[in-house]
Amino acid sequence: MDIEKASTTEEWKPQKTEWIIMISLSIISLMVALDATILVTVLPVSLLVTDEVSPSC
Amino acid sequence: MKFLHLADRVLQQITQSLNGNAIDAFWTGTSYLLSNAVFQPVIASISEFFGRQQLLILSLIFFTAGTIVCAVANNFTVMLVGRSIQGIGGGGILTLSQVIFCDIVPLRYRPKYFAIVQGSWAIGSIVGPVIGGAFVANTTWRWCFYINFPFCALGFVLAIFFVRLNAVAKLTLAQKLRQTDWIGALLFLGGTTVFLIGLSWGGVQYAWNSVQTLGPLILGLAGVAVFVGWQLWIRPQSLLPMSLFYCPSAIISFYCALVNGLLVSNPPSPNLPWLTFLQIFSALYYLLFGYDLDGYRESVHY
Repeated sequence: MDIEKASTTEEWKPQKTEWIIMISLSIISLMVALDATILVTVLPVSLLVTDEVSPSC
Repeated sequence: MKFLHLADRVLQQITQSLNGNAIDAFWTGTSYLLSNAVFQPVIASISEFFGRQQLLILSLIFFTAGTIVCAVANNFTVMLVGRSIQGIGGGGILTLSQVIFCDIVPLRYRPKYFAIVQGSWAIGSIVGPVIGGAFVANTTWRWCFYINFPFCALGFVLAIFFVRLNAVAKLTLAQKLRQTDWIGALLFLGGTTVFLIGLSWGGVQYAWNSVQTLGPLILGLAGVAVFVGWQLWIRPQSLLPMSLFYCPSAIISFYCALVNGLLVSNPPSPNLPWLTFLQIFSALYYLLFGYDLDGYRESVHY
């Protein structure tokens, strides 16, 4: 991207716009992470506890 | 250990209130992961021509729509449809966050600044199960989805007004449509989806050596093989450039991402051999993260 080409010199510091984009993205990511783990991470435990599945392997 | 137990009650409650069994509960998680994984490269690729911001907003639309469907679901069919739609949106947001970071932050500074997003993931991942458990203990599982709505609203405001990037390709709509590798996208989505469905079925719904498991596995692998062939010989403007695998360092980093996915998502347990399929699943899921290295490669070439 253009921005990337221009900024490969010296010390790079994010400007206000870049900070805003980065913070916006982290807030949106927080929502997705929250949603993913509210249900997903507990799956193996859930299957283990409910014991309705008898794995064939 | 305690929060795992609490959060576990979320799925138990959903399972009971929607008249489902453990298989349905399993697919509530898996359908999300599956669409999440397979759509990531496709969305990243389309954003090249149609704009990062535009695709980020579209991903938010998918995520919000999926959340609404899940929140009002009265049976598991609706729930699984909702989770799949949510997965597309979630995958888009995940991959576009990384791609946008690559656009605005030079290579050398990415580890430093991407920590902000990683921090969000860490907080969300730790807090999520606790909140889920608290909701189930006190109200209903539907709150696990309601909680997304304020975030969705905020997300739209942020994405529309603040994530402004002027890097949209200056092409007409027809040119954009022609540039995008639709056949590659179809082959990739079809192949990986069928393969992952087989992988998910194996050892859970059907035996590993059954037709129901082997059929999708073989068909899916064949689909992916055709996709690779398509990328290599027919289409230079490809969805997943094979030139990504251009040097040992690149291949090793993809391999590390794969192992990372394998270990992070599921700690190995000798007592639960069937968990292995989940481990492989997560490995495939993380393999796609390697796609984001595309951005790194580009900057190296500059």
